Amino acid sequence: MPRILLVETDRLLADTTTEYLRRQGYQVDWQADPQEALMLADKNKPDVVILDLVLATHNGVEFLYEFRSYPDWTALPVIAFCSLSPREIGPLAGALKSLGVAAYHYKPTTSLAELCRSVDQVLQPQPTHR
Amino acid sequence: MKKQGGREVKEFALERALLSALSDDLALPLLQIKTALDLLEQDSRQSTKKSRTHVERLRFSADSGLQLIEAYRLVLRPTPSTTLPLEPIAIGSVLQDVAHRLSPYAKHYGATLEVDIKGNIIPALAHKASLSTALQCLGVSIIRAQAAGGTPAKDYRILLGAHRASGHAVVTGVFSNMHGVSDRVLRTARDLAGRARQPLTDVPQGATAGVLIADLLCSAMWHPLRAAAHRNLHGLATNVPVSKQLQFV
Amino acid sequence: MKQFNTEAIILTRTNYGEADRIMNFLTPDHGKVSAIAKGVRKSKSKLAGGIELFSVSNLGIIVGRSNINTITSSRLSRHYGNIVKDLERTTIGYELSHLLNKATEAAPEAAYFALLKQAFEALDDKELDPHLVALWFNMQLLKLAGRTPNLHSDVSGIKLAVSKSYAFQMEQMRFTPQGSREGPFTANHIKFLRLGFRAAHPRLLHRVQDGPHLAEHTQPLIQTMLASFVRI
Repeated sequence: MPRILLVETDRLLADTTTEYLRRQGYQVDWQADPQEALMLADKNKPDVVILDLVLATHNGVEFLYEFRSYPDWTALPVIAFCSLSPREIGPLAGALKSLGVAAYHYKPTTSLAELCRSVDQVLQPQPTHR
Repeated sequence: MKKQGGREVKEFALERALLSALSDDLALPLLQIKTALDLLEQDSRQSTKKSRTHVERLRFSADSGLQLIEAYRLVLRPTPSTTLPLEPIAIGSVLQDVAHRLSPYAKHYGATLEVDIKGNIIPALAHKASLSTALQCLGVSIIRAQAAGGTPAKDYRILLGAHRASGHAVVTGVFSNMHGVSDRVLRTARDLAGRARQPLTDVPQGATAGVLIADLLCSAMWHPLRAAAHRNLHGLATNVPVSKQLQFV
Repeated sequence: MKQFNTEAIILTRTNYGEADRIMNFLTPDHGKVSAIAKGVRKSKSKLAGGIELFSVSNLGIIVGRSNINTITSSRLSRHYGNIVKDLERTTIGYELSHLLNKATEAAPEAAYFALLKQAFEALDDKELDPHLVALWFNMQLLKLAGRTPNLHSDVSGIKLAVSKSYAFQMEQMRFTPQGSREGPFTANHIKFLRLGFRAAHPRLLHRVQDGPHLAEHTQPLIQTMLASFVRI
C-alpha cells in the first residue's frame, strides 16, 4: 500500500483529506509542522508528499529545499496542494519546478477526487525509453 | 492637515490588511465544508437522492463563498498604482464562459440564463480574469437580487449581453427584468460601502459585495459599472474599448 | 593543520551519512569553501541552528587531509528572519543564492559576498519589493562580471535621446533606435536601468515613481543578458 506524507496546518482539513485518501487505499501520515514532517518522513519512508506551501513555522519552499537536500529524497514525488492561487503561484513556478514539484493543485477549486487522481498519476511507474 | 492625511493613510492600510487577512480566514471554513462534502459524497450510506441534494446544495454554498473570496483577492493589488495587463479578448467567449459558471446559480434560483451578442463584436482590450470575474460576481448578485425581490418566479431572466457603443467601445454586462439599479443608486452604494449594511437597497444582504467587487474590477481596467439596457432588459454594464491592433485584421 | 576563521553565507547543502552535512559557503576572503559540518543533523532542529540559510555566520574551519575542510565552530552573526516568513522572499532568496553560485568560479572576489549579504538585507526589509531587490541583484551581478550594457549611446555611437524609443541589440549590448513609439524601451526605462546599475543599494530603485512597472518591463532584458553572458 503506497504511503503518503501529508503536510497541512489545519487539523480539520487534514482529517477529511486523510480519511478520503485512506478510503482510496493509501496509508497516510499527517504532520502540521514541517520539522516534525521531516522526522516522520525519515521514520516512515513515504512514497509521495502532499504539501501546503503556506505553513506555520517554516514555509513550504523552505521545507522543500531541506527535503531535497537528503539524497534519498531528491526524486520523491511532491504534490503542492495549497491556498495560493494560480496568480500567486506564477512568480514561484520556476523555483517550484526546480524543486521537483510534480503537480500543483489549488484547494478552492480542487476536489479530493482530483487530488487522489494526481497521487495515482505521480505514483505510476515512469516508462523507460530505449 | 498633513498629520491627519498621514493617519488616514495608516488607517486605510490597516483596513486593507484586515480585509486581506479576513479573506484568508473566511476561505478556511469554506474549504473545510468543501472537503467534508467530498467525503460525504463518497460515503455509500448517504446515497439517497435527498442526501445527494443536500450535499449538492452545501457544495454550491461553499463554492459561492470561495468564488467571492477569489474575486475579492483579484481586487487587492500590491499597490493602488499597479496596473492590470490588458490584452485583446473575445467578449463572446468570455460571456459563454461566465454563463457556464453562472448556470448552477441560475438553476438554484430558478432563473433562465442567456447570452446575447448584438452585432459583430470585434476583440476588445481588457484583463480577461478581471472582466470574467466582474461579470460573474455581478451575475450572482443580480440572480440573488431578482429572486429576493418582487419579480414572479416564472419571469426570472438573466441576460449576459454585449453590443457596440458609439465610438470605439463594447458595452457588456448583466441584464435582467429586475428594476431598481440606476446610476444614482450605484453612486450612493459606492459612498455607503463599508458604512452601511445594505448600501444597495434593492439588493439583499449577501449579494451586495458582488456588485461592488465588479465595480472595482471594472474601474481598475477602464470604466466603473453604469446602468445600461440591452434588449429591453435593464442592468449594469461596463465599457470596454475595442482592440485597435486587430481592427485591421 | 591549517585553521582559519571566516564570515560565511551558505550557498548549498547536502546531507551526508547519518548525521553530517556538506555545506558550500561563500566567504569574503576565501571565495567558495566546502566543509563538512559533523553531527548537525543529530540535533532536534534540522532547520535551525548555528548554520542557517539566509544568514551570515562566523565559522571556524580546519583544513584536513586532501583539503577536506571541517567546521569546528559556528556562531550566527546575523539572521535575516523576515525572508523565511514570506514565501515569495524565500523563493527569491534561494534563487539569488543559486544564481550567484552558478555565476561564480571557485574563488570569487569579496564583492560577491558583499552583494549577496546586501541582497539578503534588502529582502529582509519588508518595506522593499522583493522583485526590485532581485532586479538590482541581477544588474550588480552583470556589473561584477564586467557585462554592463551601454546606457548612454546607441549602436552608432549617438547619444541616447529622450524623445526616441529603442530596441536592444544583445550582441553589442547597446540600444538601437526605433520609431518614436515603436521601440519597447523609452527614456524612462533607460534612466531606470542607469539607476539600477549605479545604485549602491536596491532602496534607490524603490524611490522611482512607477518603479515596479519599469522593473517588470526591464527584468526580462536583464535576465536575457545574464543568460547570454554570465555562466548560469
